[in-house]
Amino acid sequence: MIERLEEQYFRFNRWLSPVGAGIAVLFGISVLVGWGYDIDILRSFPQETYQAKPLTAIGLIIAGISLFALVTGHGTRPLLALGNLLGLVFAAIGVFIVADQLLIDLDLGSGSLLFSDRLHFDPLVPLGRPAIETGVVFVLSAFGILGLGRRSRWAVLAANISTVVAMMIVLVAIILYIFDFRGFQNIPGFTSIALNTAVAVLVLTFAILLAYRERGLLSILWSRTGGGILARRLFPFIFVVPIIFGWLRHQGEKAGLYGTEFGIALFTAGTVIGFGLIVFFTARTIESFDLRRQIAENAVVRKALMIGSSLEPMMIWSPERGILEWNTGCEKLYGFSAEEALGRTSIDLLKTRMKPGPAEFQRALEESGKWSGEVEQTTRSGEMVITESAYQLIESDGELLIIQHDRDITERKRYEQAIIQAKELNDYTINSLPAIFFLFDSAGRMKKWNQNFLRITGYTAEEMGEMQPLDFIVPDDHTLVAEKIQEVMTTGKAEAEARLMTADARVIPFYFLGSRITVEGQICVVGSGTDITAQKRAIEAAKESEERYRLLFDSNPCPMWVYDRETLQFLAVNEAAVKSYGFTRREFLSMNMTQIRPEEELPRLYQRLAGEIKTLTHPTPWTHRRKDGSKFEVEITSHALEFNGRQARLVMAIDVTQRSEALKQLRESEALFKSVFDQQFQFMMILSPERKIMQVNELSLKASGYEREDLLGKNFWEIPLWPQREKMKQEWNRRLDEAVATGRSVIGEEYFVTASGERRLAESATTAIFGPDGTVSHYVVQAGDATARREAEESLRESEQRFRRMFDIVSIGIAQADAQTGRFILFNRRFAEIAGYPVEDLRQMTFKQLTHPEDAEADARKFFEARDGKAPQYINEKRYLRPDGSIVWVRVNASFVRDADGTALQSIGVIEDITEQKRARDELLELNATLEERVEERTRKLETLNRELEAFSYSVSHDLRAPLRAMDGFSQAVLEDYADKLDENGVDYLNRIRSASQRMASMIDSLLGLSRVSRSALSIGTTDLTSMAREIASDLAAASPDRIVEVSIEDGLTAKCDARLARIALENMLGNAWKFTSKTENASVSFSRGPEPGEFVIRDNGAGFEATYADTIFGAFSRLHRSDEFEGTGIGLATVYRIIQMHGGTIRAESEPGQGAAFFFTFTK
Amino acid sequence: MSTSSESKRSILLIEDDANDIELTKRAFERNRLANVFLVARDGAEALEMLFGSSMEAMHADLSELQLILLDLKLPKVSGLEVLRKIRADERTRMIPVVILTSSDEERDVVESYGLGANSYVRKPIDFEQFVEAVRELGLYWLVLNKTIKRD
Repeated sequence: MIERLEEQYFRFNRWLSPVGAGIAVLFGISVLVGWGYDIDILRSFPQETYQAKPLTAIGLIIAGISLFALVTGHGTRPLLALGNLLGLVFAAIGVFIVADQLLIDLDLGSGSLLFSDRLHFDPLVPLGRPAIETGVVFVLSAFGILGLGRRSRWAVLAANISTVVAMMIVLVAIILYIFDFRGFQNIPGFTSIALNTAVAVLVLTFAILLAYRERGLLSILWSRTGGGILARRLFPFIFVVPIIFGWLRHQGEKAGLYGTEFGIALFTAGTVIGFGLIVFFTARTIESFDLRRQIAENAVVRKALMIGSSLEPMMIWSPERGILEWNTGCEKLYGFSAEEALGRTSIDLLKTRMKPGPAEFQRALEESGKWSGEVEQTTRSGEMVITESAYQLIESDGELLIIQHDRDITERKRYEQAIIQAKELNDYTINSLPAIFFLFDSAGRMKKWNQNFLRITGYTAEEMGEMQPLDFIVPDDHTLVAEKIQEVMTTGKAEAEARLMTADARVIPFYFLGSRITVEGQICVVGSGTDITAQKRAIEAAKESEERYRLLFDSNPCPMWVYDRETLQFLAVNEAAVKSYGFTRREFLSMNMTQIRPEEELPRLYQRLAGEIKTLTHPTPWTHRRKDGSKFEVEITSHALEFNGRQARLVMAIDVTQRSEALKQLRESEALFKSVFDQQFQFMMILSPERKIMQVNELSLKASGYEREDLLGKNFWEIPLWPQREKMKQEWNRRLDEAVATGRSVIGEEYFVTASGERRLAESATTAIFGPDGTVSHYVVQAGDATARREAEESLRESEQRFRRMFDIVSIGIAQADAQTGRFILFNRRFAEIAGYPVEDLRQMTFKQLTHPEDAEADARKFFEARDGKAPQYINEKRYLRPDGSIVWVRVNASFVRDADGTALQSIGVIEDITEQKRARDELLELNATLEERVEERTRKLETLNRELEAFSYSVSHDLRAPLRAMDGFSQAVLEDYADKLDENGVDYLNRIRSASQRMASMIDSLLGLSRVSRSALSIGTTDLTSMAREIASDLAAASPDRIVEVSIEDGLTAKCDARLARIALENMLGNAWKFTSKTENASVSFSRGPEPGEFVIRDNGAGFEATYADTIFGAFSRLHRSDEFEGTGIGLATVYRIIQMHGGTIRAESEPGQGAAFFFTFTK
Repeated sequence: MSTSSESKRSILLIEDDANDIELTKRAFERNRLANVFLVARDGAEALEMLFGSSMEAMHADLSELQLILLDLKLPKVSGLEVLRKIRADERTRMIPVVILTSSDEERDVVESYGLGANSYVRKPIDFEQFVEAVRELGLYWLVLNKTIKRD
């Protein structure tokens, strides 16, 4: 009961001071309210006594607030500052009150500050000033309040004393009231402190003293010691008992019940009895307290004794003062001497690490007084020890101490960890490789399995015990596995590739190996399995890649083939080649390279093939030949590859004369890549700590081809498996060291050579197994054959590289895209160049994004039509908008890869940059558009020229002739008039002038004739050439009657021609014939049909001319004879030629000197 | 046909080339055809002579004019223009005009006849042929051809 009260006290004692402060404030407020509403009971109690004054009330309110702020402030600066400020105000009020009372005549007005109208005037006490003792206690209390913030012990003591004095003054005042003594009130001019004020100040001063807690005079009230208990018990009664008994005595005396003597006796007895009872109960409480303390002290002493003597490490420390006791056990365990340890905290000294954090540890200590557990500590030498430590909290001489008791469990722990670690390592080793192990009996009961088996299958151990081997196998593989189990039972061994099915129905391909063994007299099957998903995936990837590139080969719109470098035979051709060249695939495969080339290309081909072909693209086009013999030009890109074991080259031919190609269908093709898959196996060796081989499993022997004797007992790196033993020695020692150092499996990869000399790749995991003593007990090397996977990977990489190069070097863009989304899957460098985007960006893009926005809609429509089979193919010319804003024209030719339903999956497009072509074509179109205009302009120019020519001819015919006429005329005049004065020479010269003038005139006439011919418009009609020729012949005959010429003109020669021009032509030709036969005997001239249809011929047997001049004679002024031999202007045949030409006919001459001449001509083509 | 008219056979040669004037005169003289041989050196002069008022004296000869020899290619006013004027004027409309020119352009020939030329003679280069041609001309136009009496 008492103890519970004690507990309650300690829980709430810190609120005593604030409550006291609150009471003071409430009192002040109630007094003011009393004044404000004229409620007398609030002003004075008991009534008819002095009233508490308004200023007093204000002082108390201020003091209460000040105290409250300082006590509850807890270091918040604003609150503390407020508290101190109000404390000062409170002191000032006190001073003011005292001053006003002492200097009463001055009347400083302390009484009339508030409610002055309500004061009951007393002639002796002017203006309701507070009593002087009120002022004094205010000042004293104020010191008490202000002292709260002081650090100095003297200041605190002074403040406390000051408060106690104040308390005594008000206590006296109260007692005086109780005894109805009005001592102070009788001092004239003074008003006495009101009773209620006195009580309030008493509460306030008490609260002030309590606020000092352990620091103040009342600190004893805070103590848990017996003194504290005593003080707390007795203190209230010191006030209550004498006052009650005093008051009773006084009242009794006042009522006349007894006299003063009896009163004193009664008072004394009552006080004695009252105190006696209180002391009695209190002493009992203290006794029980002391007893408990004694017991506790004894325990401490015992502990201390134990600590000193025990070899078990023990120490006592206090959170404040550090280690107080440090026994020999501690010295021994931790290596620190007592001198070194004392005064340090154990946690610092020993670098204690414990599972709970410091806060948690402290809480545990506070709540239950103790904590124990495993902690790690560090000795003086830096060694870590693990201890089982018990911490116990005790109180000694009011100080909290901790007894720490440590037991060294390092060794035990190390063993435990070694055990755990070894176990973990074993598990890890088993689980580090994708292998599962299991054992089942002949009845198919699962008996043993490793963790991996559980992990992979997802069954619990309990479930596993209930299951049969086939429960883990995909139903489709049941028959196979059942057969294999049978095989194990009968032959002792079997292997199988089957699909494992897990608890959550996942399917994993596995390679299983089983052996028959006898366990406890029962025939069992022990099996292991390896996850071969990775191998499968690698092969799938290889196939997929092959498929992808086969697509590129087969559906490539450009002809492609593979040929044998030795025989030049075709090994494979694609559909485009079949289409382009016209040979069937069968024909192709029976042909060699030379057969698609024309003869004239072969030397170049052989020359090319003779050299080591490094260049992949042959920039100069080759001429190739189709089956039908037609030739076309191709650009060749080729690359070396191995094809079905032959040295071969892959060739891509781009038809540069006609690049667009019909689209291709997929075809069956031979695999371009070697398909690789080999059985995966699992082998294991166990090495001694000396790293010698202790055990080898059957598989290792089988895989390596060595006998057990070849391997056992040898250092691991010395076995014949390794091609480079010295290197292996270093490598394996490094790995084994690492395995020891890290405690983990070390993964590695190396080639080994089997007994048959085969080089294979092994993937291994090396693990060190530790014994209980922490040393290596043995090593386990587990390995799998990774050759197949590596080969598959390499083949994949190579083929990808090969095709990537091939793909990248062709001079046209190739892009493979998803047919539905248009997103690019694969494209070559050229395509990226054309598109103008970085490769990385392009991968995220679609066809549509490249296409110029203006072309996009129409292009998409075309694309969809082709994709959905509504159009036979997709060929489009469109613009790409490059990121730099430039435009490139492309011709895109796409084919589609479709699934069985015909849905397009992918599009394979060939993209050509046709910007230049396009530009040339546009220019041509523009030229055509302006052609008419240009023709008109040319015609206008021609007309102008014609007019000019006409003017020229006109001028020539008039003006050129005039001088000639003058020359001739005046020469003649001279001959006539002055013949007698001229000698023969003179006459001759003048005659020469005349004949030259006449020849000149005749040439001018001929030229004018030619120009007239050129200018005249044709009027074509059927013309009777026979009669025309006969007229001409008779004219000629008439002109030179002395000549005898045999003229033969064939009957019925007609031609569609302009009669006027035909006559000029005939006149010239017949005239020539006439002329050139003038020196021939038996001259003959004939006009007849020529050998070709529509051809005529005029022959003579005259002088003729050399055949080499046959073509030149038709030029103007072209003469083959001197003019003294045959007269002529050299214009005649030019005129004829012009006339024939105007008719669209032909003319040619045949002649030999002296053999005559023949002119063959037609008027129409 | 009176003797006076026969004795006074006047010819007007409209020709700019001095050589041709000389040669033509010579050809006429050789043939003893013309008594009065008038020459105009260009088209404008010819028109002045034929229709102008200042040279009243010449009108007497002009009134006796029996033949005009006209070159086509003339300075100032072309021969064809002169011909057109001659044919358009009442006084000269009936005078025979012989085109005597270097050109044998068909266009010229056709136009000359179209405008009412009485004859078209191309001047030959060979002077003897020219003399011959003039002889024939003179014989026909001055001797044989009956001119219409004016007045």
